[in-house]
Amino acid sequence: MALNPEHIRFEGKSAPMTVITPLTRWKRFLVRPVLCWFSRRKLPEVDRLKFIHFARWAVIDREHFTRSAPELRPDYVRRPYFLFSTNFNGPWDQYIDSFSLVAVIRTGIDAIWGTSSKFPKAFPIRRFKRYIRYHQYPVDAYYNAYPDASIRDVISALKLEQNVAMLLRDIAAANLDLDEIDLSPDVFWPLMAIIEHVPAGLFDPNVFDPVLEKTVREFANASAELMAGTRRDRVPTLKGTQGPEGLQL
Amino acid sequence: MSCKHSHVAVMAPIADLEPEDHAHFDSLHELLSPGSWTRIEFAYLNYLPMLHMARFQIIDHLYPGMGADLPADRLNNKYLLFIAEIDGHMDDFFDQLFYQRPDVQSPSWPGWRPDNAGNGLVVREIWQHCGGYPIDDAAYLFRRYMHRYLVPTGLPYAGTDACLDEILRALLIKELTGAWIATETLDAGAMLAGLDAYIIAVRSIGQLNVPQLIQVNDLLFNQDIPFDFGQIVDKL
Repeated sequence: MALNPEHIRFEGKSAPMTVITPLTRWKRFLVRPVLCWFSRRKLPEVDRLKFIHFARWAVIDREHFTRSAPELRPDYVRRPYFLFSTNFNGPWDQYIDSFSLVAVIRTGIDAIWGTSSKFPKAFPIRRFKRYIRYHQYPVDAYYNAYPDASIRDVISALKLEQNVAMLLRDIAAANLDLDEIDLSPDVFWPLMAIIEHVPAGLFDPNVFDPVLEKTVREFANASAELMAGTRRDRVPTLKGTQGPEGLQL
Repeated sequence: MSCKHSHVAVMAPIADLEPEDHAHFDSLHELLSPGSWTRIEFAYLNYLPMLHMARFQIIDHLYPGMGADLPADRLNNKYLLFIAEIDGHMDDFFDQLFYQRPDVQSPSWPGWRPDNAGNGLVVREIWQHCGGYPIDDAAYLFRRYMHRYLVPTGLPYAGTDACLDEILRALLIKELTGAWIATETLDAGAMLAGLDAYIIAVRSIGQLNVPQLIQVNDLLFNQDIPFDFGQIVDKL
């Protein structure tokens, strides 16, 4: 027997889930058009949840089971099966709750999984969870190239990297020699601009770190004041260099 | 830059001939057990620059619909299900999987020997337990085998368009920026002194490839006591 899913824990912020359900005799003909319809549109409601790295729906045809190796006996199954696999962040319950409680997603789930035998609908939630748990298969081995990052971490890091790239571009455009870097506004204003962007991009909103947040807020306030010119006295100005108005970050 | 992701699912029958025969099943189970398959120990996958996530599962039975009157479909064979989320085309990934020779000293993976990595010998460790796996080690045969048992994806979803190297680089820069801000003071002079090292560190990150990015992430940020900014810059 395969391992019990309850007994397996994977380190990191993401967890795998695999669910295989039998399709019904009649609705199995609907499943490909339904998947095709969903695959042709964007899924902004799912994007907004921001806790799925990757997911997929697939149909395991009956022929797949008969296509076994010559030395093995083929398997004859009565119907095709539906494969759902996902890599998600956070607790299992919270993940399934979102399928059930967000109306638009619930409708989609009903349309897709409704082609499976005895699917109880995504609401009420208790029966839906029982159905998922019943059809879930344990994952024996799981690999994640960035296990310590949630999808929110990834998205915020990509935004922050864009800001950093802009900073480097501006510094490169100013022809600054890093060995002789100083307090010139050519460096200081891009720096302030990036710091101003940092709070939005740096932190996982699910993790509150009061000390770090206070530090960054003070940075942001200081940079805002400097940008507004109220503390311009702290920035030495060099002859012939640009002020803040000249830099578009 | 953004990537077109591919979603690989391959379900191959395990090579045990009779229902009561468990030799291949047991070998696979041992090979894939959580103790022998962690990211650090099974470093082989870290060297695949297209691979975001992967999983292995053994499917040994099928369930009927919950509460259905019909009995479940009985299986003569057990199946090994391999699922992977990758950048780019799956044939390139299969080739990488086949050819990759990890540069690791002694991973505690059962059956691993320094001379059996690369040229299909690592993938053979796994799929030799599946029915019909080719006797000869050739990339095209491995690719053909994977396609034979491929389960085509009907509806894929990805939370971001970014490639693996972009994600790893961005995560490293985020950690670096956090460390820089957390250790510097509000004094502009001190910040700019740190900026010099920060920019050099960011540029260094830009030069790293995927295995190096994974190693640096592991080295610097999977610690109980996090490195401070100066230590990170030194390591980079």
